[in-house]
Amino acid sequence: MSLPNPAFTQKFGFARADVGLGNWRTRPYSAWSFQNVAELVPSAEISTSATIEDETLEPLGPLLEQTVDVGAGSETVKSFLARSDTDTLVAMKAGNFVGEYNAPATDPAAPHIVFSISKSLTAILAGVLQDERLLDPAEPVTRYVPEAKGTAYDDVTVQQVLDMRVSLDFVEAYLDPESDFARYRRAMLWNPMRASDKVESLREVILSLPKADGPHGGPFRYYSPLSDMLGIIVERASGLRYADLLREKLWVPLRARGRCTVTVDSEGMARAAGGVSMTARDLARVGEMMRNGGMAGSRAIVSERWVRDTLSAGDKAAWKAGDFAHLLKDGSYRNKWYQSGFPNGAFMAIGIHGQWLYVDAEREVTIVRLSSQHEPVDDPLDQEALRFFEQIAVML
Amino acid sequence: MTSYKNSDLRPPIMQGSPPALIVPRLDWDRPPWNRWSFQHVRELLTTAEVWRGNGHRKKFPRAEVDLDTLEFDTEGGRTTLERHLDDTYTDGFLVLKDGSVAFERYFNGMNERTLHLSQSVAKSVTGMVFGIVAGQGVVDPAALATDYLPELATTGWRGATLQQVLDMTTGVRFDETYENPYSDIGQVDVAGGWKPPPPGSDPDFSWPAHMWELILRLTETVRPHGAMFEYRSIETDVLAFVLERATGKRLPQLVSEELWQKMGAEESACYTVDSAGYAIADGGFNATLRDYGRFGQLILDGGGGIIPSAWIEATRTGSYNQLYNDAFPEGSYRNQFWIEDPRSRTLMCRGVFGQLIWISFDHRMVAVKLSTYPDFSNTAFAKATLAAIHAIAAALAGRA
Repeated sequence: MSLPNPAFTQKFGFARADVGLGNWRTRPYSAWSFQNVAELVPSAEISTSATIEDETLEPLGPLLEQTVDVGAGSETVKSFLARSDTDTLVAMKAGNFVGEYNAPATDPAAPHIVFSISKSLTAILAGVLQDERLLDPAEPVTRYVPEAKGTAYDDVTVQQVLDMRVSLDFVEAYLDPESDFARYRRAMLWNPMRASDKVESLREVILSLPKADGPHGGPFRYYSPLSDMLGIIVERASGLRYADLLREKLWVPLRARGRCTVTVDSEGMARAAGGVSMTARDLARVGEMMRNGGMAGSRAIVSERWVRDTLSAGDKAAWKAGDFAHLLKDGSYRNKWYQSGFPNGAFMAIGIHGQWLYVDAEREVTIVRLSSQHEPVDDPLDQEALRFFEQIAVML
Repeated sequence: MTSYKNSDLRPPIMQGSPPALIVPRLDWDRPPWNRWSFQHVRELLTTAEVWRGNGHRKKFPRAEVDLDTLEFDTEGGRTTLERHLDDTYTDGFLVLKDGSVAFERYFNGMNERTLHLSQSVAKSVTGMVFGIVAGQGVVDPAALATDYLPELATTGWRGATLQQVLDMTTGVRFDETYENPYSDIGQVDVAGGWKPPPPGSDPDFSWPAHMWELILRLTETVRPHGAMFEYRSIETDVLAFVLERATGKRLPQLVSEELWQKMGAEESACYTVDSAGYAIADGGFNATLRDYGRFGQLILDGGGGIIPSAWIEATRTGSYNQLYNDAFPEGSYRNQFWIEDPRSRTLMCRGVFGQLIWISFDHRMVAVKLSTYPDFSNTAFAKATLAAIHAIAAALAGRA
């Protein structure tokens, strides 16, 4: 059935009508959909009046022609960005924007979904509430979420949720439509519903997940629903809905500029683990704030104590025994941020399909790469991306 | 559940974690839920942005007048503006006189940044964009709908001109009974992505997947094209498909480029979109109170070089051969706008649950009312609102 928007088809190579919940997180559709998530999933607005950036950034220019070797032989920066399905790359040096790369289909004003970098943003909110003495990470989850009593979260502390050290029975089984993972994806309204499916809320699904055999506080186990749970915890501790909390505690004091949204479920609950969309420049501002010990200019967003804890207190043994040891062999994970273990002390927030916030504090460099990689997880490409960021940071 | 007035205690709809009262998916546009949902459509439905662009916001000078205690007569007796706004479930109310803000009020949690659903006011936005594109020579109102959309040859629009579509005088059969889920307008709710199919509905009933499919299924006519006016929302969607086919652009982009970027809008607007990404041109538009005011003021100013003034003049030139609307029996309908009467030729954009933009050339005045009535339509409320606006016009004229 032909729907009339040829200009769209010409620009993206497929018709808008071809994009739906069944394919929006795959190529080629994701080159458009990752910048237009609200067209596919209901979304709450976080930004206040979005303004356009004052200064037009220089294209990365000469840097694009420089040579990198990320393990696939010598190539230009531009060629790596193109072959890795990078939508946008923004780099900052010593607090100033250096330049910006945008793929031909990228609208630099559009917010781009950052997937699990949302977790790192949610954790900043937890840090702010901790500073305000509204949240104590040592307390059990049930203190803030009473209905978690008698569930897998019964004896879990908020800190264990923050560090992904909870013993949960949750497998990312992509192919089984009856699995908890499939229920999870439907409940967040990211996947198509079948006529026979019961409408469940995200909260119901998260609370229904069974506990695994081992004790809590063990190795790093990457379970996204824990970050949705953190979203519920920060809502309960603050009394505010997630979008309002993120606007008030982060977006406004950060002086973010672009649009910012978060997907919501059938009960209006925000997808705190992966539903935030924002511009690359605003995400770079988050990285700069972390690099500057919680300060955005002269405004304190979160305490330096919390930032220091986040960047240094990750448990290396838990990491080595955990799910992602292959990604960073000397790495660690604390408060939903990754510590690289590299000599330069770089730290990161990472999302599937190639979303990266990389901060090299030693060189005062912040890099944001937002992408539409076909695979949610691509281990070889992740390694290349890490080497790419290291080399770019040195060039800058 | 019954609704609440602004003067009543506000129930905690979508407040707290988890929200004390959660808006049900099937009834989000019904009372009391519409009082929250018309200001939060993006959280309930999928939406496409109408970008305001990078330009300057057109500021309105302020020349405010205290109108709260202004008295006027309605069928229900004498009242004040303040009481009328409360009685009619008002979320926002704006009066522009000679291009300045004379009166601006927000209620029920709305503020100057809130995007509010305007229901069929969207039709008038589509109509004006059509006029702009026609002025560029890209579409011709005298042409047949099938000239742009050959697919319509198998539908009731076969042989209809675009002017007939603009005036809602085609003979296409379309049942606009809001309360019946299987009516054509009920099917629009499902095709347009506003509602899931109602639970317990006939499992063998084949709901249209999106708006285009619904249009292609409307194959019958009830009378010859051009014979009379009959209000049918789907005509606006046909117009939007014509615009998309003729310009190659999606409607949200077209409205952004031709209106929102040019008129100095304060905020980006948005459209709800169906599963195929089609913007709901007949009623899915959301914008701020002031931006609805800017749209009205632009028309009052003769189009400001953005809309052809001849198109606005044509829009004000109705025919008066039948009853068009109970709330203003002398009125007419042209180019997706209502005309209040043949003397003033005041233009109106109207949407169910109490949405109105009133554009008076005689009084150099624009009034915008955004509301969430408990009912789709309420003739007594609509008449009382017109009485209020006329009293305001008289009061402001007296001051000049």
